[in-house]
Amino acid sequence: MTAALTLTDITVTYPDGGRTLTALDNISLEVQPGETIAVVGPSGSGKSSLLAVAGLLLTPNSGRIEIAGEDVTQLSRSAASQVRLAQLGLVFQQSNLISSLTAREQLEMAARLRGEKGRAVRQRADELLDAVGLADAAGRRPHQLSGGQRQRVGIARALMNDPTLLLVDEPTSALDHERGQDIIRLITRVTDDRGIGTVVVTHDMGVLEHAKRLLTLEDGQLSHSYAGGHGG
Amino acid sequence: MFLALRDLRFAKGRFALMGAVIVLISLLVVMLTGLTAGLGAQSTSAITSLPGDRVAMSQPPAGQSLSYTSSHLSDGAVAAAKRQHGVKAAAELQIAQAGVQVGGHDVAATLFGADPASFVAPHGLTANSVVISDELAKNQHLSAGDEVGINGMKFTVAAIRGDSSFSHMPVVWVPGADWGRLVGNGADSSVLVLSTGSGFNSGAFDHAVGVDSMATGDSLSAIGSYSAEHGSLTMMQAMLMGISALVIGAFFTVWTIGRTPDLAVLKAMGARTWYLVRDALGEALILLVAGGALGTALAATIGTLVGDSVPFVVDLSTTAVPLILLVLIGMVGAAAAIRRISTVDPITALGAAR
Ligand SMILES: Nc1ncnc2c1ncn2[C@@H]1O[C@H](COP(=O)(O)OP(=O)(O)O)[C@@H](O)[C@H]1O
Ligand SMILES: [Mg+2]
Repeated sequence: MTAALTLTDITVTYPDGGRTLTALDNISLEVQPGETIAVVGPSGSGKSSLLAVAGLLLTPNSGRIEIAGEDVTQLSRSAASQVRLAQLGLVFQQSNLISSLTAREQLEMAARLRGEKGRAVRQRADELLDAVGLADAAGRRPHQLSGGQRQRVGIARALMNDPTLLLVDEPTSALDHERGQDIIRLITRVTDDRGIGTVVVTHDMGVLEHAKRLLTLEDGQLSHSYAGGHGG
Repeated sequence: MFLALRDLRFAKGRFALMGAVIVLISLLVVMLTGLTAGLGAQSTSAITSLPGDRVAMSQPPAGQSLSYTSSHLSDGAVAAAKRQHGVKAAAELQIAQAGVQVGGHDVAATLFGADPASFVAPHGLTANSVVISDELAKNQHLSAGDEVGINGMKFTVAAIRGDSSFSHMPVVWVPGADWGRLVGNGADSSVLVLSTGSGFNSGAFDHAVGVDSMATGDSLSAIGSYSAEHGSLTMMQAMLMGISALVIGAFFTVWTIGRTPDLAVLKAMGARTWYLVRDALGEALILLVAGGALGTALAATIGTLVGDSVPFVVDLSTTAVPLILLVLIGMVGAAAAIRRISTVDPITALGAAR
């Protein structure tokens, strides 16, 4: 089986005053289709940098990135956009919905970026909103949704273009424990159902019980700390 | 423009404010254009409606520019002009200011004197008669057959012809034979009106006749009132256009900075810069066209209402043309602001950047 994501020996450094700060130190990671990997670490440990590299938003100093078996390490900006459109779903920390769009339009927007529109797109958006439990909220704008609902719309939006790889940035940080758990359950469920490879980065240990694999990131070093409570 | 239309609706208040500014600017620009054209016509319509295609004036003294009111043709200039290659017709046009007595009072007018037999004289001009402009006829309730007095001489209105005015005064055509008795020596001027065809060589003509010749349209700047007004009004229009570009640029700069987080998210999702730029330009275009059309419609309405008392021209050149210019210049301002979309880094969509 082709891995959804393979990171090999990734190093990322930032200039830090006169010195350099190593945010990711020679990290390797593989994510298979249908698998949710949780990367847990304290603030500043390099989680966002890891997601940025996997999301082709940041070119690492060294190492190799493969998405669905394709080497995508050295892409131009527009080629990287192309890969993000075709292969990636991103779920942001605060859901990052666009204020002027209704829930359904957030999803339509994702399809429009690929040049797809029309009735079939709206129908697919409604199906996805239904799948994340928001069939009734399709016409609401972000300010009319609760934090948990916004995060669900964000997940549905990330699924709109049928991604190979889902990258999720601190999805529970704005939610209470129970709602956070619901969101993590939802993410593992869609990952399982759709055969997507998913990386969730979080500092919330509550994801522990749902992730198939849990990795700990500390000072840019990844350690394998837990495997497979999840039955999927 | 999926996003643009929804942003417009969602941020109604802000866009309405900007739209109102565009309405006001276009209102001003179009009013000014209509007024410029109206005043221009008052200065020039008698010249632009002359037959022929060229006008020639005597060369001005050093340091002065060509002027209808200080041109004096030498004796024999007409005869010399007629002999030149490519000249189909040439005639002298004499110009002077005078008071015309209508009923018991005086009306300021510009006298145009011409030989009734020459091609430049209006149809109907005969000895002891005058041809007057529509405006003069209307304002003074004159019709053909009425009598007017000029410098103590009586003339019959032979015909009423067209919108003809010069230097903000209505034109009264008089027969050239009476010119000497009507106008004091030195208080008048004279120019050549030419009809030219193939073979006409402006340089050779000027040299042979001792004049400066030019296309009739190019001679308007030699009408004193016209060049002064036209220059300052045109400058005001240009400044308004410049202001509108700046205002629109400033608005879209603030707007684009405000939506940077949205832009970062869209780019992180895979949106190309060009897609987002096109969308934002569409937004600017909608705003400019809607606001500009409303302002133009208002100005045209006002112009039509005041058209009787104020010189104001409402036609395509004074409405559609400034509107299109305003939209184009506004788009330049918007484009300069919207350019910054390309600098938005999608990585800012990650983390707690929001
Ligand atoms: N653009 C940047 N410039 C300089 N240092 C950065 C930049 N982004 C992140 N860092 C630093 O890199 C380290 C890892 O950051 P990050 O990947 O955001 O970690 P996390 O998401 O786990 O908080 C932190 O010490 C942070 O201060
Ligand atoms: Mg982070």
